[in-house]
Amino acid sequence: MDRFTIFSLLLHLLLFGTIAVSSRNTFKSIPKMEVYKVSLAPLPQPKVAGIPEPPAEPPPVTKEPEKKVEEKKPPEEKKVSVKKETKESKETKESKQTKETKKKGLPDGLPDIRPQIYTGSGRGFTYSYYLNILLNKIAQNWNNPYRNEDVILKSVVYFEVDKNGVISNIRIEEDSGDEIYNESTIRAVALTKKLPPLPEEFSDDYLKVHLEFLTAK
Amino acid sequence: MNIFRVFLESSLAAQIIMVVLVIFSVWSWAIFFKKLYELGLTNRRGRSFLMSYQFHKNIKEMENLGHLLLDNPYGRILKDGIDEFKSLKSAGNPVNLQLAENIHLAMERARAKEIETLESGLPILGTIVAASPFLGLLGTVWGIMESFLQIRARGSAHITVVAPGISDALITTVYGLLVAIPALIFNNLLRSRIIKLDSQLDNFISEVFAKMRRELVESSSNPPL
Repeated sequence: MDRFTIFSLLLHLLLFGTIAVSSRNTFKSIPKMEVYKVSLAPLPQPKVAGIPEPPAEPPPVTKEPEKKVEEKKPPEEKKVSVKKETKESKETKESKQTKETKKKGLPDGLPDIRPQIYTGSGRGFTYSYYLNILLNKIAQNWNNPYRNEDVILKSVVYFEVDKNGVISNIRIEEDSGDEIYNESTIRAVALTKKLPPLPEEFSDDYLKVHLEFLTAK
Repeated sequence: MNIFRVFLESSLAAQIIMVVLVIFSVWSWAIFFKKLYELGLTNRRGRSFLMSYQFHKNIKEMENLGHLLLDNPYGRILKDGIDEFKSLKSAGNPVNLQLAENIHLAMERARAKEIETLESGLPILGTIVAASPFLGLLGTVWGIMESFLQIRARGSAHITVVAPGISDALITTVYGLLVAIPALIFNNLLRSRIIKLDSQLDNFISEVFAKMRRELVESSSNPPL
């Protein structure tokens, strides 16, 4: 390699570096854009014992013991055999363990799904009508690419709903391992964009939702 | 658009094509800088040679130009001409004027050699110019083909099925053009400068040859005692 090749190489590295730095900002801003990634996370089973841990991120409000809210499963989910569930806490070993135990306990294709939602503060979100709307809206926007296929995929999408019902901070929290599936779940949340305003009685600034999308035959 | 993210999410075929194109790009820029440097050096030395050359009226004086006869194309051509001129003169008297053409031929040979040296690397540049868009196009066709295969495999033409292949398809074309366009500019720039230098060398040769032939004629009509 003569000096000109090295010079050319350095020039390219500089160019790529500049592009990388400049596009990092635009990339970060993508989740704030309307439709890019949205996470719908249907969980297969009703939770029994799983108590989500408080989120690692500093929650906007002080943490309190969470309460679970059970909801009826949106009708679409049954057709697709997808269960949705929202959880507030980040997944830790404990919560994973509880999930596993739940899965074991449940027969495949369990029809009855009871999603649970916890607020960002750890307080229970007790407005089941709101959760029904949320799940229904997102389920309507979800176009599961593996609807009729014999695959088992699970992804968890995290997003936040502010007081006005605007969805933001959408991201994949748990990768299903399938890019198309991930995109479809994110898209489902992103397309929903806006939900009804949060219940006035709900004191937190926003609702953190961990929605699990599950496809199982 | 994050080009790295697109790269990482592309298929293997598209990634290979992009890596090849980046190598082409580095190569073409390296050739450009090298040739630019060589041509600049040649022109600078050529100018300083021509400055000295114009003060030397006859061939004998020209032999004393020293290093100027070796470090630039004009000097090397002149040196070959002088060598031929001397061998002609030393061949005996009277000088056969018909052989004077040999001086011209010797200088032409030297010029051809110089141009050949200067043009080295340009064929590679030309190849990169021609091949890069085609490589990009190959990636495009490949990506679109994959998209259709995905549609068939999934039984759905949903955007999430088609989009990855299409993005592969388009990004390789972008890479191909980003490589080909600068390379094309470099190629044309370098070629035009070499052509210009070639014609200057041509003029120089005819000028020197005229001088030498005149000296040959003079020396044959006035043989030294």
